[in-house]
Amino acid sequence: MTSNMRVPHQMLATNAVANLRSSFARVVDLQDQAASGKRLRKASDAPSDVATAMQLRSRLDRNDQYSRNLDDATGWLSSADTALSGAIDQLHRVHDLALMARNGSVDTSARQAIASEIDALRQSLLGLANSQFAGRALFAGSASGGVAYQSDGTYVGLSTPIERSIAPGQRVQVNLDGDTVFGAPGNDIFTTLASLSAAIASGPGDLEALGATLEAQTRQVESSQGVVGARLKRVEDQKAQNTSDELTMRENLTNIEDVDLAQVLVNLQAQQLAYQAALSATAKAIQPSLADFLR
Amino acid sequence: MSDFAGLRLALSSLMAQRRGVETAAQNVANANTPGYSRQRVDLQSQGAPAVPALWSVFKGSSAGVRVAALERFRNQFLEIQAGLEHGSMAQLAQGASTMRNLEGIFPEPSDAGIARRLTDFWTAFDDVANHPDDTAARTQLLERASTLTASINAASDDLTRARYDTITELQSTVTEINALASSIASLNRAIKSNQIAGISANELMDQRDLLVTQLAEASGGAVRSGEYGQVNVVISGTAIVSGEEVRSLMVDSAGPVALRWVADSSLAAVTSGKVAGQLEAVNATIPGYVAQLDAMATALRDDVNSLHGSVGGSLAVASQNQGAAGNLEFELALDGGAYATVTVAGADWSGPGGAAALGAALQAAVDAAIGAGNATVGASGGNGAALAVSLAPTATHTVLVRASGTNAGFATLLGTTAVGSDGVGGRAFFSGSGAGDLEVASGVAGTPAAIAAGVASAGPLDGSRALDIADLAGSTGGADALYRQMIVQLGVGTQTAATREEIQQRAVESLDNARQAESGVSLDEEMTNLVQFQHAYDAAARFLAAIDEMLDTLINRTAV
Repeated sequence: MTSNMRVPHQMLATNAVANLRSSFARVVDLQDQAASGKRLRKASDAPSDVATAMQLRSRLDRNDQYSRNLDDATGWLSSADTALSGAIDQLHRVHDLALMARNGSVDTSARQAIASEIDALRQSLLGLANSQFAGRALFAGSASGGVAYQSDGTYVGLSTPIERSIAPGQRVQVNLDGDTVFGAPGNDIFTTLASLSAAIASGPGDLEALGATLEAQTRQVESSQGVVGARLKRVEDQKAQNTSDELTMRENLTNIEDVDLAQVLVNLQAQQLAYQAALSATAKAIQPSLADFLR
Repeated sequence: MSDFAGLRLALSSLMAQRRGVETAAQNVANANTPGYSRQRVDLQSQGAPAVPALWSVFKGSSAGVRVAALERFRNQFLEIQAGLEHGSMAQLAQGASTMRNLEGIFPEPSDAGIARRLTDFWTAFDDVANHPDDTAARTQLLERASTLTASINAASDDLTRARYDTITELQSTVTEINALASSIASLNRAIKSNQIAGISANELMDQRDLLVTQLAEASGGAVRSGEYGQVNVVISGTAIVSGEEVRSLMVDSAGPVALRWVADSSLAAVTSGKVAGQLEAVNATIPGYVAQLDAMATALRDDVNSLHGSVGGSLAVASQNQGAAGNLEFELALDGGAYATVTVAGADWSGPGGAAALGAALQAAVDAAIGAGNATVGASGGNGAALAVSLAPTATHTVLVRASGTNAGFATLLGTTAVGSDGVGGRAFFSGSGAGDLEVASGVAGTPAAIAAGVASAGPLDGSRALDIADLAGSTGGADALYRQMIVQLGVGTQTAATREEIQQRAVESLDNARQAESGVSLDEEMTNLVQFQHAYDAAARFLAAIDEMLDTLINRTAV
């Protein structure tokens, strides 16, 4: 505006109204930010930040699901771990009993007793092999029916890996097949135990060979427990990672989406002051005209 | 010079000064009238005649003053400029308001938007993968899927409604344009008559110019000066107002929405003004976002369906020789009808040409079971590598597959078919052609068992397929990415439109200030004029009194 420009009164009024309006709009915007605590309230507030915020929000939701998946995986793996520890204890007992039976001084009735204890242990092992987590047989893969082994020791599971998503692009297998842990059908631990018990009951047969088989199969169970332990470790690590990821993402989201309240309040104060100043200046400028001073 | 000339001189002055006072009063009275232009009396001193008389000599001094004209302060150049800028302003304001409207349809980032619904949908697949035997997880998935499709449908409906609303607004804008044009034409006529009769048309012109600015704002027409103080308004070469003539516009909404001249139905190419903004919204902006939402919906449909409804499998090298296996069987149902058994005689497909032979045999068997042309079989690989087989329904058809018979060969062949817990595979999850009618497919809706969590060869509690579908959440070209892209574009578009509106607003403001500076009434100035003319009036009256006294002296005191 040049200095020698005519300034009609209407122009003064129009400009004053326009300026007051925009000043007030800034007050309202800041007040809205302060009240909602959000810097991003619609896509146009900062489009690139909105993209990041949306991505973070969906990753946080996915992360939430990953922790549920991780909890589920922990449940599967720790149940398997417990079942396998139990099985290993039982197998060690069987091992001791087999050694005892090989001693020539054990008489028939004692051997019978040993054989029936081994049968009992076999039943208890079958029970452990049919352990469940949340209604599903741990060692039956994706087979339905709730058991991995029938009461006669027949494997009815399927060797399908059961996996859980635990991080973007990362899956962990949460199950072990019965035949991987307890031996392939026909060559499994339950057949070995049945033969062992029969051999002991009927007299000192080829206990040595059976004992060796049993030892190999026990080692298989032990190494399976090792696998479970390793996976459990991975799941626990991922859980910790997940928690720290979540914290980082929440912090990022807060930085992007939320207002710096102190700053907004200071700005609001300043803007309110500016608005009041504009109001009083306008009130003073709009009032007088030459008419007020002519008598 | 006549003895009484002085009286007439005083009289002319009194009349002129009074006119000046009246003009100041008129200006003050209209200080706040929109469109009013201040006026000023144009005084002219009366002197000797311009052409000297032949037989007499002008001996007088002066003959006073007269009001030559009532000058109206308005800069025609600024008016033309204002028409352009106001037209452009109205266009940008319309653009910005369209974008704000569209932005309101998508409440992002928040928990209420489609982004959240998508995430809910994908995580529900995770839950189904974790517990394929849990009906609650499957029911939850179906609920979330229908919530997702409903929110996509609603957004699509809102976009369509926004477009229809804008067309309705466009129609009323065009009605307004036609009304403005005829008012301007009749004012033009009145102005011309006044001009010819020598009567001041200032107030008529003010009214007319106000309407012209409104017309320029609505139609984006350019203002041109005409004869006798008239103005013409031209839209891309054709005058909508030409003196007293008017051409009307109409909306043509068959096909792409356009404006046409009523007289000859030719296209009126508007490039500015509110109508241009409305046409842009109706023909480009809103359809653009509809297309993006449709692309997102079809990506969602196709990505999920290709995993959820896939039929096929592969034969490992070891099982490619099915020569001794006898007949291989499975069952197919076309378009939800009864199941028909597909029977292929086992053969050795392990050698060269094995894939082609299996494909041909399978195609013939499928055609025999459900009719030719309804499903296409594909076979590839083999000859020392895995042999892959797929089965796809042709357009508009659906097929359902389930295992039958006891032959293991085909169970393997159909191994990677996604099956529901009811043992049936090949079901599409979503149906619909775009965002407007996307829905959970009828075969799946309301049937939790129809959700294909796993594949045929992996046992009833397999959750691998659901896991694969859940992983689509992170897919780079998937629905989530497309949706985010759309929101970013919407945000950038809204921001840009608002900025452009603001910049144009400044331009318009400074132009309007310049117009105000030219035409607006300054009360100080009018007060000064008032005082000035009042004093001149006083002085003229004083002069009249002096003449009166002089005449009195001459008549009553001389030679008495």
